Amino acid sequence: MPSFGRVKFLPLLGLLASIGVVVSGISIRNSVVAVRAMQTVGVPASEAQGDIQYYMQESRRRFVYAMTTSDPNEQLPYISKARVADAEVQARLTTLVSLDLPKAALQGAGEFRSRWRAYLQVRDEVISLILEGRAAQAVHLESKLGTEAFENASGALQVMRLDLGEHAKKQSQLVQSTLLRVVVELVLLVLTLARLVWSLLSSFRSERDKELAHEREKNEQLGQSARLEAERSLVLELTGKNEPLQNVLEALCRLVQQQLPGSVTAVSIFHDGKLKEIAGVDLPVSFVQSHYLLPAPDGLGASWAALQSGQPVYSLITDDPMWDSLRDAAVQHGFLACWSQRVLSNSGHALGTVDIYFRTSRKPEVGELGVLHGAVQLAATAIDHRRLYEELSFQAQRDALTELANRRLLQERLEQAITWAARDQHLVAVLMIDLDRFKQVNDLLGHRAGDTVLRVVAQRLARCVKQSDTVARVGGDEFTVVLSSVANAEAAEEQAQKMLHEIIQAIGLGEQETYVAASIGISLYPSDGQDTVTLLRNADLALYQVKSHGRNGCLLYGPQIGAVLRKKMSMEKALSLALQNNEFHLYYQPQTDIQRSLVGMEALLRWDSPELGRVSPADFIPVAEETGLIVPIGAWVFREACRQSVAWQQLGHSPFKMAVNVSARQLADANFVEFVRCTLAESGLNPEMLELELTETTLMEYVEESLPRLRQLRDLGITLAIDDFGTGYSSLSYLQKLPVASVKIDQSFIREISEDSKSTVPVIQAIVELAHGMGLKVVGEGVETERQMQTLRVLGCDVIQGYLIGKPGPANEIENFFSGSPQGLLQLDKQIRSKDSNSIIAHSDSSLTK
Amino acid sequence: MSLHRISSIAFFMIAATITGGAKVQQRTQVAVIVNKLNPVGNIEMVQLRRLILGEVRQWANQRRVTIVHRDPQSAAYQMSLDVVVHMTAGEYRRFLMNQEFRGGEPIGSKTLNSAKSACEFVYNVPGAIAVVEAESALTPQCSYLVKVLTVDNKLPGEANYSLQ
Repeated sequence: MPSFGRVKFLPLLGLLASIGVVVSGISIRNSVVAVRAMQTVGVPASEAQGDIQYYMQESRRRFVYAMTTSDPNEQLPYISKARVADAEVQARLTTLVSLDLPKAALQGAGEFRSRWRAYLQVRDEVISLILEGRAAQAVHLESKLGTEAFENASGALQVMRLDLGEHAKKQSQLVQSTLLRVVVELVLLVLTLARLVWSLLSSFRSERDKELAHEREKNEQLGQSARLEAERSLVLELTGKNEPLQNVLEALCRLVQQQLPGSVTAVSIFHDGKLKEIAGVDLPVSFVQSHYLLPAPDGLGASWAALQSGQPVYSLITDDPMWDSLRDAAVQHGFLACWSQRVLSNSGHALGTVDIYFRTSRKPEVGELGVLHGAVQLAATAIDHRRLYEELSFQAQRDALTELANRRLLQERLEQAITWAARDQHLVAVLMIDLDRFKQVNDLLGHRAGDTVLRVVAQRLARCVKQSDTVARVGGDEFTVVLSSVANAEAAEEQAQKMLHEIIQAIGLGEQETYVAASIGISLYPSDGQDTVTLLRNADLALYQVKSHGRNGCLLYGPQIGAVLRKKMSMEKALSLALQNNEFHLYYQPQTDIQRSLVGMEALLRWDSPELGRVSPADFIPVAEETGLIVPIGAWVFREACRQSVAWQQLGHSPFKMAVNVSARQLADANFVEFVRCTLAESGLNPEMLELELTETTLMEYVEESLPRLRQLRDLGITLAIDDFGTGYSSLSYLQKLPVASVKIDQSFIREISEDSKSTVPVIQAIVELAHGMGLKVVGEGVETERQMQTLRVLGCDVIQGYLIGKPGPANEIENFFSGSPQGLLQLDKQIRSKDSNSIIAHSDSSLTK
Repeated sequence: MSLHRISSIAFFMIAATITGGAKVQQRTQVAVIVNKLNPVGNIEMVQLRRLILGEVRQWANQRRVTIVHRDPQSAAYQMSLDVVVHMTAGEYRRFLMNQEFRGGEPIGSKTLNSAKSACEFVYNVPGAIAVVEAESALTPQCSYLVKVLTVDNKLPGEANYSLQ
């Protein structure tokens, strides 16, 4: 007969169990909601904030690049890229705001949005001014409002970042506490349910003693179950807290050993064809080395048998053939039986095995089968969780294409390196690397080839650094390397040179090969900056300097780079205004034949800037070339020289050739011939009285493109001369094709004519004979002494130019040389002789636009 | 200058004009674009001519006028000079140089090497106005950025549109 002594408690237990189920359900739901909130809000918010910071900097950088040039055709691509980055900022901000953010972070986002808009408003006004060519106003506005507005926006972003960080921390704490509560409630629920079940069962016992004895037994089992559940909860809790996998699996082993007294448990992880990363509490090391850590031979031990078959293996080590080759090692440690089962991931991949060893020969009993199965489930959860966690961590910090560190990880590593360097008093080097002409690889060979190139370069860079250094990909073709400890600046440069050497090696793309070069800017902690932002910016400036000096090299940042860039910008600004402010003027230098009769005049450009004083052509011409201002300046020189030549003729002087220099950019202009034709027509200058001088380097570099234009110029009646002949790399075959009428021997050869100059004279003689052989006239420039004059006369030089003949001067002074009458030449000759006798010669100034 | 030389130059100028005129007839239409902030929606040919010749330097909203030209080989450039200011490229260049030599304030103008660049320029500079190929101006990429003006109340493609 059943005893109903305890039946009266059943409704109460049932009620408690029901409440427990409901409360546990709510807690589980809350924990799921909390975890989901962290995944859907915390991580995306952090990523969006990081992206916003990156694209803000990108927008700013492109905008600054646009300010460094004055040609709108070059400015517009930079501005477009800046606007693309603006759109990215806006998109990320929209994403951020759409997340379920706390109020403080939302307010921060609103503040950032308004400040960013304020900056964009100023920036757009500056862009408008730059494109209109009003560089001075643009620089003024930018320095007055733009920089401050950008810093305000950055500050607002920083505040928002702090708010988000605080929110993420709270979310994380919420998840942890909720999970703990779930565990506790589940334990209580299980206990309550167990109690309910046992009470139900015991209520049907007829005899009181039997019922009591049975109840005691059940109580003991209940205690064991509680401990088991607690251990299981501990394993799950360790997993949830992202404790090291080794710790979690060792807890699991302890759990199994507690359930199966006398056993020794091991969990092995399958990786790269081996069972390794063994976790076991009492497992002898020598047994691990002999049994695990080996490739998979067929039929070797219970672990491999379980792994390959997928079925649980319950083997007696002394009898089972699968232990033949490992039996001695196992028996030596006293192991006589082994139960193994494969651990599978959620996606069905083999993760490893759970192996339980016994020092007695035994097969599992009915109740023990579940122990192995439960351990396998727990091991699968722990290993899967750890792999997922590592994968997510890797993805959050790595560049997907190259697997190098991304910008975020770079930032962390650089901060870390600076901290260590400050503590240990050593240097840190930051190397900004930009591939030269990578766009061409993408355009010519396709993006897939471009991706291959980036991966290869990434691997090469990674090979060049130590384990403790960081290589990151921070943009399309931009990499940054942090050398965490360098001895000195030379060591950093040496490392950079090594990287350049590695990068320029051939890169295989299937059946073909390609080559890329790179430019590297270097900054050092602490001399070039005390924080990450300054170090990265200064390395970037050094990189910019390398790029503007011909690429494929490296440069260490120094204060002079900032100064050079500032000087260059101020010169660009002044240069852009110089033409409209009439700050340019021309000097003229006479050319005579060997009998010292005037045959020509060379126009020389001079710039007197109110701000910079007399600026050397050697300084401002490269800037004008780079900014494109050389075209309007060259046009002005050309018009002024033609006008002056006609003015002299109208004063009654005999016509002579006016020599004007032409730069490569002028020659590249499709309208150049038309411009020359129009200017000649306007000025009324006879084309035969005009000579255009092009340097040897210019001609040879653009020979194919310029040949048709040169022929058109010749057909107009204009003569062409090769300037600085002998210093470049003339191709004789091209020289033959070029429609030139004369060559000007570079003044460096003339200057070396002296008492014992035996090496220079044969060179000049060879040039003269070559030129005469091709029907060309020879002009010697930079002639300063009578000896040089006599030598050139003997060697057959046709025309002479230099201080010996006449110093360059403005038009009104030069007129003195030939004013008044045809006897002017005699007067000129007289002055020349007078100058020579007084040893006036100071410098050779045969530069025209130099 | 001799009579012979003058007659030669005249011959070449006439020949160039005839050749140029023939080219204009074959060209497609061009459009006038301005920044979207510019309140102007329609422009008359006379107004366009005054803008290109620098006779008007400011818009009604006080923005400084910047003329954007396409490169001199382009159909739009030749069309804008031929139909609007009735000049050849050389004459217009000389006109600009004369402006400069007379000491007047230079006309704010820029030359850009593609219609896309011209659109981007106008988008970035509130006072800019450009004459570009109509087929480029009417593409979504360009019309998204800038405003296409009606010329004498007609859009490109409509009957009796002036700039064709």
